[in-house]
Amino acid sequence: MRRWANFSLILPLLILLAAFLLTPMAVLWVRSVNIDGQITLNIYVESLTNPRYLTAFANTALLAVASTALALLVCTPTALYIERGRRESWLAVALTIPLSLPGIVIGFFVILVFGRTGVVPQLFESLTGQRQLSFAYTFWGLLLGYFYFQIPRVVLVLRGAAAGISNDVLDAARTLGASSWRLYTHVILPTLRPALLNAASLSLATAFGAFGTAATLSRGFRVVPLEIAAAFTENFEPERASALSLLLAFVTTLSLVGVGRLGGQRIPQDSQT
Amino acid sequence: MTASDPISRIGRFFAWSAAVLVLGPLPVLLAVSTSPNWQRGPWVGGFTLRWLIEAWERIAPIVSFSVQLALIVLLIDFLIGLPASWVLARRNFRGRQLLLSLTILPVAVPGIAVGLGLILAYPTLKAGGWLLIVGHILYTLPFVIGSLTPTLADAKLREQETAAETLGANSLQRLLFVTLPQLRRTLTAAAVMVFTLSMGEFNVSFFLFTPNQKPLPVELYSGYITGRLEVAAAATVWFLLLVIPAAVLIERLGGSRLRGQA
Amino acid sequence: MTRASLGLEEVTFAYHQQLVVQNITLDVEPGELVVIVGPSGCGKSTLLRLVAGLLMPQQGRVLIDGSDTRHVPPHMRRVGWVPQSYALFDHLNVAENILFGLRMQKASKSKRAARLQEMLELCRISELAHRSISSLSGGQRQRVAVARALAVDPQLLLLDEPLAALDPQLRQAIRSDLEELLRSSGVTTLFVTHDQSEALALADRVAVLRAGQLEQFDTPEQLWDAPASRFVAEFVSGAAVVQAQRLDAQQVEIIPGLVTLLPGDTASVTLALRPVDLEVAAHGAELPVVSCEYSGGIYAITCRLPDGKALRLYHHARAVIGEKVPVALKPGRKVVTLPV
Repeated sequence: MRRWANFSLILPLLILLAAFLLTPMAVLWVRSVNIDGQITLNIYVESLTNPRYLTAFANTALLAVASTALALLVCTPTALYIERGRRESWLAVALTIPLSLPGIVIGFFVILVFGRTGVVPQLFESLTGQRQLSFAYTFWGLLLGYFYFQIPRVVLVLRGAAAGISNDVLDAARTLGASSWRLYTHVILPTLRPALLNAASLSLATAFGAFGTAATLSRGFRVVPLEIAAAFTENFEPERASALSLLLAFVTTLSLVGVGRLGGQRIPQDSQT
Repeated sequence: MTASDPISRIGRFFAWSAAVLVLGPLPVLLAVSTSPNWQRGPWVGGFTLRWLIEAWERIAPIVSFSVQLALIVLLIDFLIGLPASWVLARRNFRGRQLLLSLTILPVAVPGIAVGLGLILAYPTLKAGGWLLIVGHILYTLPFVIGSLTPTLADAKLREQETAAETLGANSLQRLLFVTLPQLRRTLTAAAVMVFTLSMGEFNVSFFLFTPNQKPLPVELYSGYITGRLEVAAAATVWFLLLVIPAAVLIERLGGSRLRGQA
Repeated sequence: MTRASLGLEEVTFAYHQQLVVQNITLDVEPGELVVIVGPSGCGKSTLLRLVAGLLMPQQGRVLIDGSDTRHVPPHMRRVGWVPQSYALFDHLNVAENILFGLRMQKASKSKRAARLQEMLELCRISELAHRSISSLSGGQRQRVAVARALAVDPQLLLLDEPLAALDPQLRQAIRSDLEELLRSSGVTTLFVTHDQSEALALADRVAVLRAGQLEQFDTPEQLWDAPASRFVAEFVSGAAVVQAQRLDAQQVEIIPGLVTLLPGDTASVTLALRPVDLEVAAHGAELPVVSCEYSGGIYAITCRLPDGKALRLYHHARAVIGEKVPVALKPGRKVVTLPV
């Protein structure tokens, strides 16, 4: 009796997932391999050898890795400071605000600051007479946008781990003769390693799948999500769009689970009954 | 960690730089949205509310739609998510681990992929906005389950429920008088989270919207691509006013495991 | 106030093929205060849950007031249960917590008001009625938890390590307060603890549990003077258990140098040497001192026996560690024999 009660409680979720997640994924697969009545992996092979799409994949990977690296570099000391330094709580709130901003808005911010009529180029022009630093629509603009998007998320993940570093452990290391640099490399970073890998996995996966930011900022710099949109809405090639979507989903899932596993990531909240 | 500590100093520098980077665009946004002609420079010609008014007139019905959409999504999320979280938190069964790991869905599978899949699988459901609702649910429900499940599994809560049972409370009474009151904080945080996520959802919405069912971010996007800068900025200001207070609230409630789509 | 009897008949409970409670049989008289004592993991908390109906025994019966409770769910048993964490509802204030059970019974407003007053006075927490749970100290929370359990006029009261979460300094005072409260309410009580001194101090009878099995169920005095097993002797009175060799029909040698009168015919006898029975005398078994702890007016000395085990006794003067002291039985003390 209880089994049925449990099952009925979870049934809506199962229906949702089956109908609206698994089925669409299956449809993508079918559409991508069923070309003109024939089952073939041609479109995958073609996409992965086509220079246009290869470039897109390379670009996406470059953006993902670069923005992740940048985010980890900046956010590790930041998270440590917020959790353990002077209590400047507004700092924590300030860095949480962008969590609610979608990629398109962040892209727009980059335009406002570094676009053709952005603040910085205008400032530059009034100072030197030349309009410089309007890189919003280039790789650098995208990088900045992706980086901006990652900051609050990475800080959040790292803050939790930073809070867990015991002050006693640091003090003990100091009394044993560790300099500040040694403290960082031998105590803090090793302790943070799982969180760093966790944050990296999230950041990579998010960056690979980013669409809004790229859509707002791209003027020719192609990333895979944009190619998916183009394939469908401009070129009317649903097969290619499907194939690219699945390839992208594969990459994001791989980076999330793969890098996460390296860090010993627990899939959220395994509770003991 | 004393303030003069080099670790602390480096941290402080980076933290402040990050904060400046993050908050910097906001005053710029305000300046652009209130300058008569941004190309000529900030506030050259005075301070004007013209763009803000114009933007509001254009987006007001869209804001209304987005808010309604968010509330519908919220309702369905709780209807599906509460019972599911209950079972996931308190019952052991095959496949439980698999279901739990689906809370990472919003990051694992890009929104455009899901959007495309939905539209190819159910082309007829696009009109009427049904797919849009489904898309939003797929990307908000995992957060609801992700925050409710650990709270429902908490040993402290379960012991309170047990104590209530020995005091004569039956299942329904325990749910109403112990479980739900204890869940209040989590439920509120989850609700605000869903609202914020839905209001800002773009990646899935891009494929699934129709001219009559257009969420706010899609409208903002077209403004960024084709519209006048000042108007786009003004529309963004309204968007932020809707979304930032909610985000601050989430931070306050301490329930932030928020991740959206870039 | 209701007083029910409690009967456990061969109650057995296993969790994941692991026997947690084995074949426990004991009975509690109406109004009696029985303490279940044993080391961590011995199954005492599980036993409490079995009585409350939160767990179902695989074998055996739980009888409350003579009737089998097999088909009675917890919320119908009228058994007051106070877990170690107290499990107070922190979204309600003190008064609301206490009245929770009556609210579930849909008791009338006047009845609720009267009972609340009664409980507040009985547990001496009248001034806390409108306080929030989070503002209470450990001792106050404990009293509110007990008041909440008693408010529904339970047949039995089950307390799971009620004093364990409290500061050691407060424990003594709160313990006597709790005892006074339990005695004046007169409800049949089952009290679980790992502290043997608590058991001896509070109980009418004590059930000693070890690895899920009942070692002995007796009055505190009987446990002290007539332990049924080596474990009980060691756990309850801190005794050292030794094998004494028979010298002749009248005497046995406890340890080399310590002989006592004990008529019998067995080649060896198992004896429990309790600290209170021993003293540092002029002549006795020379034993090396391992440690000497001052305890306010008296010293607790630990010596090493020939077989390596520890022997504790009390002395009015400090002993030097490493030196030997002569240990003997106090005059007039009878030695405690254990069944084989």
